[in-house]
Amino acid sequence: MRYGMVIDLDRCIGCQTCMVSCHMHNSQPPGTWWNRVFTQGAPTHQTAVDRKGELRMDYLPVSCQMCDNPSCQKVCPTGATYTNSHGVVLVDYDRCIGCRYCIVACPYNVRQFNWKDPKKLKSILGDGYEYGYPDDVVEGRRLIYTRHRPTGVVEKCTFCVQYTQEGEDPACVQSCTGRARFFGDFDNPDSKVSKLIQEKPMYRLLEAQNTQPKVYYVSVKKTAV
Amino acid sequence: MNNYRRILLCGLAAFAIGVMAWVYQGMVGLNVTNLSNSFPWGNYVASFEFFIGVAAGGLLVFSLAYVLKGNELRPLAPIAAATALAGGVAAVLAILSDMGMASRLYRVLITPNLMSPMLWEMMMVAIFLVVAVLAVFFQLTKKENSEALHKKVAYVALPVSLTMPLIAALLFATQPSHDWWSSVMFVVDSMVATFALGGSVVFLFSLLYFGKKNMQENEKAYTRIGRIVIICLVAHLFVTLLELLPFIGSQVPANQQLISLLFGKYGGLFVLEFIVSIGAIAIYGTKKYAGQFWFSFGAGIAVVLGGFVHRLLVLAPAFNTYGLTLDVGGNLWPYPIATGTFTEGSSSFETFWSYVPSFTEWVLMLLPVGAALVLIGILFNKIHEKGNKVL
Repeated sequence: MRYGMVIDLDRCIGCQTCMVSCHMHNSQPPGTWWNRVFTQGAPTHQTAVDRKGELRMDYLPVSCQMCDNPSCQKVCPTGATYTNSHGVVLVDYDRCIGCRYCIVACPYNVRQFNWKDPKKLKSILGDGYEYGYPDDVVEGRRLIYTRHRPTGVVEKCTFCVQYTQEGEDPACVQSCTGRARFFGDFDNPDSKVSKLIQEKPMYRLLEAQNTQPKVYYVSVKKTAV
Repeated sequence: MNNYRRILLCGLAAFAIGVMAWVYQGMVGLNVTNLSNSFPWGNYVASFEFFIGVAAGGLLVFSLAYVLKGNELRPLAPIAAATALAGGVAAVLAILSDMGMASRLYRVLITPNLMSPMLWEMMMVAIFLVVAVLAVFFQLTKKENSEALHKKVAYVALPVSLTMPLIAALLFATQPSHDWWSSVMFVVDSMVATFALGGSVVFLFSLLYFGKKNMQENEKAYTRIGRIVIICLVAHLFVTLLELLPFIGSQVPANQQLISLLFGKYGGLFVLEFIVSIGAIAIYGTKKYAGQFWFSFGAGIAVVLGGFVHRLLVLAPAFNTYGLTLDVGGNLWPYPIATGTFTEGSSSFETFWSYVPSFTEWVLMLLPVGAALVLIGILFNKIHEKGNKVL
């Protein structure tokens, strides 16, 4: 099994709902975003950009690309970053020493560091206000999800491991208003994601880096990446 | 109170302040730094690389005193060995300051990832410290016929002094996500810059230890170190220019970004490094000036300053050149990064991070500097007691 994602850029309306649902479901502290959506080339999101005389708003969602050849995993001195049997790149929060070499190595800038105590940061939003999936998720002996990550460790998108382990889609896929996001198994030729990348022109970010992402972008307009 | 005791006391005071800053950082988190997700390494890593240079240069000078016909460096061997040990300890403390979870460092032994250049560097620093301790120990306890023993240590020390900065350079050069680092040229440049810095620090400490009056006595040794530093500095400037060539005129967005940063935002630092390096070359290379205490001292300080600026310039342009930069309608657009920092009313996304080390970052650097001074104070005193002025 090799989990991956397909994002149909022709369907993305840049609403950033996926960003917010990812942020809330995964209990990210203010300032930390595992998932980002911006208007390409625009200094302010949802403003048009002149592209060869044509005013356009093209969006690009970027989260962890779940690379088959992850540079973050190679550099981690303790093996805190690893790829599980489903091809999902994860961080063991009990093993991370906070050296941030993985942040340096990732060309997509998707990794986030807990510079401050996340629990204290979240209290800014209101005393006692709690959000996010409540239970810890442990795989083997690795802590791969916990609501309050420790200060001084790195975190990133897990493809919502707390949901996908139960056979559900990640929060961003479930909440996408334009139904632009698809999640599935690339090892299964009959899966929706496998079919989508056959049907439409597909791209991956920074192919030249040879990271072999498992997040594919499809678009007939070829405006992105 | 002799000068060594004064150095020791200054070092202890600096170390104590540094410890307090480290405890404070440990309690609050690394948000006391001005680092962010887009600029994840700063003053601590630059200092780590700086002290690696000091340490490696020290051990190189020590080993050259016993191998490769470097006999004239003998008077400086104990100073070089002490410098190497002090630099190595300071490097360890500098990198520990940067760890978000330094208390988990034991994980490196329990679940090591042998693919990680950081693990290689940790192993290499550990080996280095063992060799440096041996070098210092035998220098301080040497007996009349200990030449063979020093040589044995020196033969081990030579490859160690070369390998440690090599791996430190590979830590960066193996990262294709940053074009500024990802080249063989970067490794060569990093190595020569390291030895220019380390050689100069040994030179400076030797000047301070032997004093103004003994300039003539150690003239040959100073001339030899001066030559090493000149060769390294010339190579460094030449390789830096070679490194820049592929970027100049490049159509790759990240490369264009890098050039505009190096000659724009960081132009001042870049020029400063060049000027102090050329100034040092001029002094070390002119017999008239090289023989004068204050000129030599100034040249040493210039190389040390240039060395630290070089370490900052390794990081700053690389982090503000984003791999994920798109060409949108002919304009370069770096994809905004979530900085991980939060201030009410302002965006958490940035396309440029103007990094300047925070007050805490500077104060915390007193930890490695203090530890180095403590060691220098103790070891120089021991060297003096053993009467190591003439070996």
